[in-house]
Amino acid sequence: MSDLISSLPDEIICYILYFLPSKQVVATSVLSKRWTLLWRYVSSLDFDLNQDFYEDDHDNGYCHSMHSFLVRRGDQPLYKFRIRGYSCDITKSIKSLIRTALSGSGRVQIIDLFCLWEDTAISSMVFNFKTLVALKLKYTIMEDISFVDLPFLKFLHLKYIISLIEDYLSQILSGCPNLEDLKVRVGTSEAKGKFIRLSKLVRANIDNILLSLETFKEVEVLRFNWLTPVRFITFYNCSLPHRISTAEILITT
Amino acid sequence: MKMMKPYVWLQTSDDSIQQVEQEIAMFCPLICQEIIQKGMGSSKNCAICLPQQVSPAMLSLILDYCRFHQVPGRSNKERKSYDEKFVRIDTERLCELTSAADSLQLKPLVDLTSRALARIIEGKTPEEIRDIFHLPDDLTENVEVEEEHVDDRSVDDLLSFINGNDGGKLNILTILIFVFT
Repeated sequence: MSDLISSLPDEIICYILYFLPSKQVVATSVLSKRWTLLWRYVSSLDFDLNQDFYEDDHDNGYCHSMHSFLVRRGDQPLYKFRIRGYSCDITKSIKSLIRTALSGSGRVQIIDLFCLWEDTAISSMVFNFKTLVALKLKYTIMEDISFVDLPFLKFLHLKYIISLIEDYLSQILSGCPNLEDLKVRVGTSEAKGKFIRLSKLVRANIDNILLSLETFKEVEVLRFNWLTPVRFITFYNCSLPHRISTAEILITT
Repeated sequence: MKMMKPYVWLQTSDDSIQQVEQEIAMFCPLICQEIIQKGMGSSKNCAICLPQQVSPAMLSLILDYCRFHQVPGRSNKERKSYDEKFVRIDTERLCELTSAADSLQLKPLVDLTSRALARIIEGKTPEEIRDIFHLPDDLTENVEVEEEHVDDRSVDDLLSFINGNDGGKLNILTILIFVFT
């Protein structure tokens, strides 16, 4: 009997590996001769430096493997970027490799960053990818968001964004006409209550009212986490979104 | 205007021919192309020859999938829970299904089965992955390494293994070592 997976073409095996963390993808290179180079054609970069730091108990070893991962796979396109870690863990040369890989890939679909980047070069880049479907940012500093054009973006999750730009949220949202899933957590931000037309929005999970309730008129699942009783009054002044099937409102006073 | 034929003839890898609802079969881009561009499948004599990867069992699974998703008005939740149950099959069939769906260019199903396969191998060591897919290790062709694999199974057990009773597989080198030590 032959093995189960050999009948699958390389593209499918690479697609299966696309869903796994890079560390495991690289580990498959020792499976057999066929698999030795397959990992290089997997179009995802998925590193969790925090987790591996504790697991492996070595300082820069993991950074080193991220570096050699990027160097060895060369110009192969990347569609998924997922990085967890603190920017102090990531050396300048890795950052520049990431920037090169990002700008070299014409079809970036998923960007998921949870890093404290002290420079803003990468976070400013993310809005340039017209092919993006999912964008998740956590603890990211944003400077330049003057032009946002993300026609295919369906998922936008923003947590604890640090930005000097007032009202950066509505600036981003105005460039995402097809958004379906929105999640926003902010530390301290001035609620503007602006209305942004998001006709495809299905799920929203917002803390504090950053946008007018009109924005959420069509959603099915809505979760608010209000921080001040003042917002409660705003809520009464507005008619309830009519399509909502699940609504959860947490009011913390 | 000529009426659309409701049925289409398909020939699977074992050369058997069967009739299936055209509307459902058309869900597969490859079959769709054969019908529209080449005018195939309208009778038993010009049945559409499906790729080698599509066995009758796989075709029936794939048609079940298409039949469910072809019905309009199902909610996302319903579709999601159907998909979850659909891929709860053993790894061998999951691999066959991926391969068959890929050959029919049925992308949503390839996506579904690939994700399921990824979940199976997630967090596993290379050795565990080799076991799951019965992958032979052609990188370490070292006898000394292989000797460690010799286990306490009886010769009868091994023979049934070799004859493939349970679909299991043993490295031929291991068997030789077992017999001669």
